Amino acid sequence: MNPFSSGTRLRDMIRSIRACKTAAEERAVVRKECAAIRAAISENDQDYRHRNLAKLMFIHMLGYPTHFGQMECLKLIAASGFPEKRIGYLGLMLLLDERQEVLMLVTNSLKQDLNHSNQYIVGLALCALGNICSAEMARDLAPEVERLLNSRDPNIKKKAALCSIRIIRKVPDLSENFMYPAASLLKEKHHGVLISGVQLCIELCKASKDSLDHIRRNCTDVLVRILKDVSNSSYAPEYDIAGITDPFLHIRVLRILRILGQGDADSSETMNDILAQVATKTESNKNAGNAILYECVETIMGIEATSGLRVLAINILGRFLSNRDNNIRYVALNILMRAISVDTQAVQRHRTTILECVKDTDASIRKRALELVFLLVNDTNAKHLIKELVDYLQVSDPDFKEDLTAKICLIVEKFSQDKLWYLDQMFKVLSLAGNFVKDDVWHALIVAISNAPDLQGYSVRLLYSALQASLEQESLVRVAVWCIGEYGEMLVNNVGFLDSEEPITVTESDAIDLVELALKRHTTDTTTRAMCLVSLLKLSSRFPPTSERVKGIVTQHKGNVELELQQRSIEFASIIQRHTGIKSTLLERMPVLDEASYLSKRAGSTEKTASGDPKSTASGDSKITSSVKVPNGVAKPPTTAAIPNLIDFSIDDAPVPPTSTTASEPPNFMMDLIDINLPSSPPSGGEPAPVINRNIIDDLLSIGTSPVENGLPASSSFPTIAKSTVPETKPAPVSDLLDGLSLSLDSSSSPSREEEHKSITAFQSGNLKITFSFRKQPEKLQATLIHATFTNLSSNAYTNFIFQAAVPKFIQLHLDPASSNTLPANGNGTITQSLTLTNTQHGQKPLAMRIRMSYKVNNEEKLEQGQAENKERKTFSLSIAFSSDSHSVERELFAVASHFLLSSSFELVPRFYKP
Amino acid sequence: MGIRFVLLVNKQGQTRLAQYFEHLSIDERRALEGEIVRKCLARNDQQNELAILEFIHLLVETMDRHFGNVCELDIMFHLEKVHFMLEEMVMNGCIVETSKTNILSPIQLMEKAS
Repeated sequence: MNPFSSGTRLRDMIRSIRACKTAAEERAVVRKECAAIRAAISENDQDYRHRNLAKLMFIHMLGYPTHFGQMECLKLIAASGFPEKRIGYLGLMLLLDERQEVLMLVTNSLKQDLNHSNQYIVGLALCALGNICSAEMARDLAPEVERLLNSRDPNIKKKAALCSIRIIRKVPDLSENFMYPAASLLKEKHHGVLISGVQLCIELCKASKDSLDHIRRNCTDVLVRILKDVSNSSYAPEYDIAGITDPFLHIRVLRILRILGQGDADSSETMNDILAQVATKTESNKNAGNAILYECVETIMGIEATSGLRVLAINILGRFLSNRDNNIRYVALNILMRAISVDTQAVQRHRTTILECVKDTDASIRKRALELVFLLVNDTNAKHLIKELVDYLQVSDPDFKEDLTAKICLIVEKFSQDKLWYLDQMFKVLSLAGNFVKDDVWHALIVAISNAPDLQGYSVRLLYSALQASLEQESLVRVAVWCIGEYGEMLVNNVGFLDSEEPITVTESDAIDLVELALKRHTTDTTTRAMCLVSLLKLSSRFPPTSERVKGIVTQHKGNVELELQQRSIEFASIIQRHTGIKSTLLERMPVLDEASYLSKRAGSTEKTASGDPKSTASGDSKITSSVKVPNGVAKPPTTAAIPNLIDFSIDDAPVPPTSTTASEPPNFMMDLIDINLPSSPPSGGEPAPVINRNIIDDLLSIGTSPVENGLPASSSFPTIAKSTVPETKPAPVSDLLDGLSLSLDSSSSPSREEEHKSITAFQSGNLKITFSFRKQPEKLQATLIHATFTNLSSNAYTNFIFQAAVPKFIQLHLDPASSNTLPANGNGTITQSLTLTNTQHGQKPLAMRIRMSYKVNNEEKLEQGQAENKERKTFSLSIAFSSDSHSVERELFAVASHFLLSSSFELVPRFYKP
Repeated sequence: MGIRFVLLVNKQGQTRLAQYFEHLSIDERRALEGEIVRKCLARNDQQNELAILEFIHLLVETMDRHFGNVCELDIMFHLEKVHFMLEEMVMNGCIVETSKTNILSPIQLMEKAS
């Protein structure tokens, strides 16, 4: 049984797949085959294993899953015969990849085969290893490959060299082991070994600076000699392609010379001669020769070559440009584009040829050439180039006109030292390709005309003649109609006549005829029509006798379906008919448009469109989030939308929304507040709030239970101090915070790598103050470490102090144990506790947290809670409530609510607690 | 990176040989093979396009020498042989051998053996 003839069944399968008319039929055939192969695999069929694998490879190529055959490859590789191994390795390379765990199982077989006495089997193993080796395999098998690099057989050597490339890519640390063997490969004669050796050296140069230096020092001469030998060698049938010996080797040697010569004058010097020889002597009538020349030019551009050599290289590219082969012209344009930065003058010399390429029949060559021409334009050649380009615009392909027009306009605007020239070129472009001229370009033209009083007459006459010749170009119509309206009398009276002009005679009614024609042309769009109407109105004032006729034309549009035109028509008719007194003042010439401000606005608007998008999207997003219900079941007021992330100071937030939104809300949220905060009071009708409340409270309790329940015994014998003397706000000193942190932070997070943010007062009531200080680790922006410090502001010590927190679903909360559960009175001591918040929607949603503190004062249970939310990069919020007294609750709430309203930038989110 | 994949595709766009030198999932391969024309047009700056063109010529000439005027069916029915040839020519995206005789000798040896 010969596995390579694949047996009849493989042929049958291919035939039946070929015979399939539809994809469904093909799928059915493949399904049937796969089922048969699976069955054979489960029966551990040995005779047809190779054939099944061959089929699987075909099926795999067609894009069907074949993972079930992977183990079969391994079995075939482990077999002793060459044919089995052959197909097994092929399957391995096609069906498996380095990410599959199965691959680990093959390491041992590979190791054995690498040490096999049969050179073909060693070759197979090397080839497979080179194609699929993973980092672990690379480490395991590198010594074997290294040994094989010194083998006597060139076939093994070349494969070992390429295998080493894979190993170095996977494990760059191993590269130094290969440095010396790689250098010795370059002394070989066999081309296969040479080409592989050169590629290995290239990889080594990329892998480390040391190898690069080593190869540069020791191998530059050898490489130059290889190139010399191969380019001078007489006819070698084995490696001959179109009369050139081994162009592939040429190209790779040139490539490594480029790497070695880059930024190194000495080695560049060594290779100057041979590069000059390759550049001058290589035949350029076949693709192979051109490929070498191409690589040679790249190398000359890349190294510290002499200027003579550079000119030689650019001249080669110039010759490429007139080559008949499209590919060659295309690559030449590509390299020239890069060469401009090296030697502009040399590239300029080929300007004429490049300009010819703009007129090429191949669209991508035209495009490239146009880009190149654009880079070549300077003050001295702009006029000449524009003339050529404008001439070409006349005959160019319609598809190409858009690009060409855009580039011409850019060049004309950028290099116009002379206004007359600018206007002339723009008028030409407008009449040739006015449909492709962008709005901002013709707007700029109008601004320019308005600023050139000497040329207005000239412009209007020229535009009039151009418009008379053709009404097809939209932007020409617009500019011409605008100018005729503004400068109508200059047109008729030949004001500001230039010597270069040809005299024309235009009567008042001629001008109106033309505008009317433009207005009535069926392809004219609304904007142009509207401009025509204005133009006519202005003409009625410039040429009073035509007034009646203009009115007639204008009134024809009073029933137009376009509101804009209808309105203009009716209003203009009434101006002409009834307001003759003010008409002439009303329709005076436009004041001179401010060129500077227009240009800066134009630059700004293009910038804005470029950068403005993300912002508008962001605000769009936040609008969506604003309607999202928060976990407490109450929709957040829309003000939440723009609230920046509490902790993420780096985010440039959206502007703070106006207060008015908040102000309009109070009745609602007050209801909510009372409603939700006091489940004991009857819930307002129809609101499902209480149900949700319970869930939330459950959540709250389940998350926030502090593991430290039994702390120090309560000491209630603290000196009594009048409440008023207690400092209202005690700013948390930073040093204290840091001390506290170093105590409570776990050792894994090193404070030095963290980003310290300022601390804020997260909660403050008459009895309790909480400060949060924030830290972020730069590599983990979602996570925020909060260090909370609790201070008792009342005169009684708190015992059984428990801090709890609840967060929305998109945030993960981790609470560390508190330092104590007893809080001495009068701020004589603090409890500290660390929290870690992970915002899974970092950057999209701000951090928010609901907090609750329960404690005992004189054996009476107390509860405080609030919402930590972010605003203007501060944190804020909350109200306080005492469960014992509903009056005081309302009072407190009211006080807090009004405080919120006063400090405009607040968001109020209702809170709950359990009485 | 040198050559990232070799695909032989017939005029109807059906894949007739595929060899990848970098990892792509089946779905990615399908997508790539589906829009191969566009990919061909998006030419890469780092490569010597002319050399790649020459290499394609060499591949076809090698197959020609073996099969004698190679056609689609030769490749379909002798897929493994084409793979063996390719293996001798490219490995891990790098060119191994450019002499047609050297490329074909192991394959002829195998044919003789079987």
